[in-house]
Amino acid sequence: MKRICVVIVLCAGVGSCDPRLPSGPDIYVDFESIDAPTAPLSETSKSLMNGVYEVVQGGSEFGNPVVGKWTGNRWGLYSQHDAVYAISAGGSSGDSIKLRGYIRYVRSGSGIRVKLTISSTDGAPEVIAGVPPPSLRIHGTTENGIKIELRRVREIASSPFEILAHRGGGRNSDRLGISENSIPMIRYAALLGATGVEVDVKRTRDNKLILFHDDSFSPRTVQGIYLLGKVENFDLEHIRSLGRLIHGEQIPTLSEALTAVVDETDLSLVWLDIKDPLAVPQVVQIQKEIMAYASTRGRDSLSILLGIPSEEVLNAYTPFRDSSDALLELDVETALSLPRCRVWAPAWTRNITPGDVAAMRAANKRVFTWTVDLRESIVSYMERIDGILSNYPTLVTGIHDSRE
Amino acid sequence: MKPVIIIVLLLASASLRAQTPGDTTYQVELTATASPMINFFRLPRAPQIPGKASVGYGISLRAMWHPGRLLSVGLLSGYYVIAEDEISVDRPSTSLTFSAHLAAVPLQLALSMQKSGVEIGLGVGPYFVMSTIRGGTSASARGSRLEIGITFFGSYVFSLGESVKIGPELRVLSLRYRGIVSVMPSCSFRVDVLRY
Amino acid sequence: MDLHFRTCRPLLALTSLLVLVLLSEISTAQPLRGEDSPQRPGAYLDAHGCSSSGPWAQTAAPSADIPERSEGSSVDSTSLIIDASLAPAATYFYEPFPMEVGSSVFQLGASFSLLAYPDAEQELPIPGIDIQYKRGIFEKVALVGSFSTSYFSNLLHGGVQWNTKIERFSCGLATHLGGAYGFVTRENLFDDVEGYAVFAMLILRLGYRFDEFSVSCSFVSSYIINSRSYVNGMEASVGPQNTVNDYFCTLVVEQPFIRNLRVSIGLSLGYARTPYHTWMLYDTIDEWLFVPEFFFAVQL
Repeated sequence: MKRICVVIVLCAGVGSCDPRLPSGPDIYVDFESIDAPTAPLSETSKSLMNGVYEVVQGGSEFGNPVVGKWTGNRWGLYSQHDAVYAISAGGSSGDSIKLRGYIRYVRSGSGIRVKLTISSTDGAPEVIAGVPPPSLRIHGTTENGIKIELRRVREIASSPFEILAHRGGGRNSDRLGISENSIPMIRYAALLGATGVEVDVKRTRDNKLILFHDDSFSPRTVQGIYLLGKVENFDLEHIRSLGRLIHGEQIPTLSEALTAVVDETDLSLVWLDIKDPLAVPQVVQIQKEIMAYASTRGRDSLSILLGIPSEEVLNAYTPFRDSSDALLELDVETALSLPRCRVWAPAWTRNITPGDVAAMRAANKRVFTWTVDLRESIVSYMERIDGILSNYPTLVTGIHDSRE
Repeated sequence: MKPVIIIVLLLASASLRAQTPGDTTYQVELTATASPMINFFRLPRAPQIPGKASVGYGISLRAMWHPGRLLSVGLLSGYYVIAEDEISVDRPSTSLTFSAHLAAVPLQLALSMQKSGVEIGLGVGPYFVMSTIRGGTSASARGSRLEIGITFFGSYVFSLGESVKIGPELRVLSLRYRGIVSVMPSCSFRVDVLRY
Repeated sequence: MDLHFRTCRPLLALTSLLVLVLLSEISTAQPLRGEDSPQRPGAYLDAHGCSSSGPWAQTAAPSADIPERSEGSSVDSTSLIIDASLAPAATYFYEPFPMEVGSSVFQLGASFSLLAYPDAEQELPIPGIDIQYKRGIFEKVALVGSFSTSYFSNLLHGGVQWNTKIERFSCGLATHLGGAYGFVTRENLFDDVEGYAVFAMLILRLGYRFDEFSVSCSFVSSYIINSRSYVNGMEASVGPQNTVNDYFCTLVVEQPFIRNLRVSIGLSLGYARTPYHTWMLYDTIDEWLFVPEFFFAVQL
């Protein structure tokens, strides 16, 4: 009997081995209220803050080094060690710079709030004045007391590279609190370090095009119990009236999403992933309309590429091969044969040889690969090709921008 | 299909191994229930419906095989109407009204233990979930999906005669993925259809 | 998120204690001698070889005592008295009742796990075949082995279990060592991926024996010693190392089903960082997820 009691008591010790349990993904940070008491920094000041930072304290959160850079009015920190990033808002306050925001651990879906400060002795006055400081340090603490200290060591690597966010920002969108393939996610993609997005196009029963990845509606992707089963069984009217994306956003049409890219982002590339060959003619039409609209808005550098993942879609694209820009996932010979194929993008597990890359570049085409999430693979491909599609664009940003 | 084959093979091997002619009575019972359903949803059923509960109704059928012990095994099915809603959607120039209907048919393996009229059991397996949307300006739309669910049931029966029993039954079903939990208080009617 | 090795001292302490207990049992145990242990069919033997006379003992009854069942009467299993001369002593796999030395249990069964949707983008039911074996090697000690396979993912583990009982209650503690191996190939999605893991498992079982069935509850924790994933021959660096990976809580009912053929039926709820079903998927997700499972098995 005694033995049993001892064993049971010791078993309770197993409970002390509990790992840290993740908190929920919904960390609401009112960025506007953070901005309000501070004065916005000038573009010159922001560029002085952009750079690669040595992590003096806080390596357990970010690894070392990290990349810090402004995107619009938001200051981002991007780890090159793991899919960890921080987004903050703020500006100058007296002779210091104050930033508030959150750190997100993308792979676990958890996050914590963080406060960052550049004090008057750490280069803030110079940065505010638009003058390069002799040294620049950022100090901060997280809400659970972890101290952070960053020291700027060099400029961000400037080689061009396309960082594409899968499904607008990464699959398993519950990790970010914003639904995949949604307009809010497209707006957020740049804060993840992405230069472009990949979105999925589906056709409804009444031949309308929406952004949606799966063949069927499911509780993973939508709210609304009456949206059940295949997307092609419902009209757009049913989908928009009786359902929402899982985080409450409206399910966007392709037109709406591309218009948002033009009007509300600085993204340079959109990859339209189309699995249904019957959707191709309409996609080409919308592609033309949006490119014309983008031109009127001064967004001539935007590329909207019709993705060709299969022979069926290729056959449907063939009548438009001279008028529609495309991205091909098939073999390199087909990519070279298509006059408007701008990008060759095979899966990352296929063997992309230096000869293939050279041939594509000689034909003024770029080479991407997908969907690369492993750090070792990202590092490996970064030196060889022109762009990566990833579920963790923050990690790709951290690796790319921190290169020496 | 493969799980069904596995179950059949296991039962067959168990039967073959255990069967001794003559001294064990095997019994097959059919149980039918009809009841209201109180359904709870993890998320709103539609953007226009903030409530997370609904009232539905359903009938169920259960065929159980008793090989002379506490444990019995069988099949569970039925038809449950989980939710029916009239939904109005305001548009800039007009208003649309939809009728939406959600139903489920369980196709489950049932296991239960019976003693002295009390039966406690569970059903595991898929539900065939179906939705129908009518109204608006479009033709009606139908969708369906197989989703895994679990059904717990507990009942107590009184004998009405030799082969007929009746009594209350409580059933709880969970469609975890879809975020639906339903409670069904019901009256069950049980008949011994075969004894050998 | 990771649990570092040095913070698992309670786990190590518990394992060490178990080893000490096992060693003490082994050094003092005496195998039961047939002439000292009258084996009444249907009786459960305690550790000292004395046949128990508790209410759960099914004593042999002369056939004249078996009540006649009148034609047409409803069958209630409580009215049945099985000819105990044909009934062996009940031994179950999950219930940690001390086993007779030399006796064994071999089970074949099936399980159905529901993989959480963050791993597979849908709630994926994964069926598997389970093979389990338990053998009493000393008075309170059993050797246990288990193999589960869904073809793509495979789990093998075994170890020793120390069991004891008080009246109808029983308790067992086991440490297992095992491995998991998985593979899948799906063009452009999972190109030739495989993964493996080596783990240690700590199992606490609590049981209660009713007259006609047994209920047991198990608490399991697995500690990953090493794991690897490979994609097209390239090693993926993700995967837990030297960390607790999952916890399981299992509720099982074991009982005779057809005559004396015994079955185990149970529900398990796992809380796992990397469910073993997805070892091979170079799982980049670092989130603890619930994995429910339904299982049943037949003693052969």
